[in-house]
Amino acid sequence: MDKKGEDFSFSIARKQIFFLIIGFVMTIVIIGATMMMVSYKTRLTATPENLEAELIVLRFFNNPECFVYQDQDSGRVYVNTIDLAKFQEPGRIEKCYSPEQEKGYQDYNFRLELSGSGVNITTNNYYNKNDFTLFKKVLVVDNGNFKEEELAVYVQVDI
Amino acid sequence: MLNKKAVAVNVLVITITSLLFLIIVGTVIKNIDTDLEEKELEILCEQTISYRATTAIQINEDEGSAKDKFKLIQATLKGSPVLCQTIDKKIKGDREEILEQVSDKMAKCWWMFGEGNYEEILHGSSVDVLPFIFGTDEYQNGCFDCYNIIIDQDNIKGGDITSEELMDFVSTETYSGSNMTYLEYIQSYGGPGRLVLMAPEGIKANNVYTISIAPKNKEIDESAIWKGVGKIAGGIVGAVILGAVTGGVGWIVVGGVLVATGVTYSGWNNIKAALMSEREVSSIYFTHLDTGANFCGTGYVDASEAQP
Repeated sequence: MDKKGEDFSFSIARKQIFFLIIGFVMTIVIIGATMMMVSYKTRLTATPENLEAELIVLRFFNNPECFVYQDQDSGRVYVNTIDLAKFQEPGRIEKCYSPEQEKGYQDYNFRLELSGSGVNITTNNYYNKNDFTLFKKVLVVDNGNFKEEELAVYVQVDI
Repeated sequence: MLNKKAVAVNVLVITITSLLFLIIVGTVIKNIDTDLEEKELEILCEQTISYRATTAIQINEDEGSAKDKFKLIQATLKGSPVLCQTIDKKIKGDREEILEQVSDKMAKCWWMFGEGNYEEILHGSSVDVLPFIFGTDEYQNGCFDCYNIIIDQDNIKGGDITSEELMDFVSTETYSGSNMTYLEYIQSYGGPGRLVLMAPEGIKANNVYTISIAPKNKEIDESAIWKGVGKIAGGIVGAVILGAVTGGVGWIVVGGVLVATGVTYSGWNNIKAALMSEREVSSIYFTHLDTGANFCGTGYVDASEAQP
């Protein structure tokens, strides 16, 4: 092989090695940068579990579709007032909050307990894993009688 | 013959293609989707553990002698990532069915992690290569929760299943994957192993239990809890149950099985932490989810830090 041909071959080989190393380094840099950005974004937009649970739980004592007492005649909704009959109605909680049946344990699940009445109900994927508990003072209506009780909401964040 | 420019462009195209391929593969490796079926996840885990063990490279093994300090380099490289995921499994049925499913999963977990043939398989490399891909930082305590077993029913016919019942079942029933009992399979198939049933309250309806694997991690010293246990049992024990604990734990041997009862040892958390961190043989643990998550997952508490 003449001198020119030899130089040409070496030049090609050098380029190949160069691109190989650069390619490897660039891959690591790109993957690393992407992961850092994703992780930063996740941290930036993370919502505290307590806040998320508080927001979900609001429906239990604010929404007449759930357990909130509603005057039949006037239609007035009494927020923070739980109708014990609704609370004890079988299947009512499913209409109010219902995670998917099969994989619902990956979502928030709750056990609601009325301290005074001693009644408690659970959502469909609650498995007694209590991550934290929220407490709320509520009025309970039982056969037209109002009494103050504490509603304990045991929160299972996920399995 | 191609001219110089054409060859350079050719190389560039190949490099860019390889680069894109690597990025895709890297991303896929890190984001293996949880939508995979249970069987696929089990096989994937077993395969990656097997690759990890067979591709591990030890450079100048630590001999624990004075010669070690004169070695130029000492490293353990584990080049294959662990692609295992904790599998959430809902089970229901009568007590026999529940016992069988729980026992099957304990045996399957043993199988997934090489049947006791590998030591410190979940420990990271001494010299980390691409730790964000090949690292094992998330495996606190060098152990892994294979399954979260969800007892998906409101009650179990005949009442809660006790730890003793579970121990009876695994020591008498044959594991379909072998011609031996579940306990024999975990104790002696492949490498030596141990089964630790750490759910004193037994198996209750609407509760979640964890099946964890903790590969052998160290030789235990004189002060370690297993050493005391060994003395009582007259050797290394193959199966352990924690009985009801009321302020302390003591050890007795019943029918060849070591049983911990509420007698002398103070500190429930201490004993749990010690049992899960000292492993002179690879061990399968059956615990309540809280214990599994605390001592095997990210919330691991060292025995010395645990509160009595």
